[in-house]
Amino acid sequence: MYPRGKPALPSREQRVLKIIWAVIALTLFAALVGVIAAVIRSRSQGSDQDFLSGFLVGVFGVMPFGIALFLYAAYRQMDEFSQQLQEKACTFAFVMTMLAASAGFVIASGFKVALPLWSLYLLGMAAYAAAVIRGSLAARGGRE
Amino acid sequence: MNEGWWGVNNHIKALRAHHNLTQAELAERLDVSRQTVNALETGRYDPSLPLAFKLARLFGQRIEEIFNDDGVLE
Repeated sequence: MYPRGKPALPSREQRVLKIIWAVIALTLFAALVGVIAAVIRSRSQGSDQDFLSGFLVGVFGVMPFGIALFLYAAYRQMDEFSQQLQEKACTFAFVMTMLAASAGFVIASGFKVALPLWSLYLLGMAAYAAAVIRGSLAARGGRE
Repeated sequence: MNEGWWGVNNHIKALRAHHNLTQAELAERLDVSRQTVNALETGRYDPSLPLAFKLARLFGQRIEEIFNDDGVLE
């Protein structure tokens, strides 16, 4: 009744995975460019006149937009359940980051302690990852 | 029959078994991930109308024959 065999087109999961691999490659490349730019700048005593240094910093600055574009493409390729999972994870991460930012403002002004900005990034990404993992595990362990 | 979070039941698992399809094969025909098929079968996720129509067409049944809320949503 149902013909079996290899599909003519790659499955949705394969298409999403392909984009995710591109995101990982681009992220690694961005990190590499960042490291090279930092090394060149430190060797040239932070001179902004160095062409290569300025060029690499420019490339490094643009790369997050490329990564964001790829991530959006991956989201568009996902099926409705995966999209919903991503939306919930992003919402949770946003709320956690905003709460942390609010707490950070209070701590910074009340105790005169400046929290590093990367801690907000780390918390947001951790909250996002936790929400995605939790959602995936919950989907697997549904009620029979 | 598997009951969803909002009281919507479905027969997807039984229909899939009846048509001798694996979760991966059903996912491929619906153009969704296997995780989505699993979530549907275990009642963790209620599909959108387009996906419900796709399922109905694939199994040759009406939507209300596959999904049943037993009057809970009235």
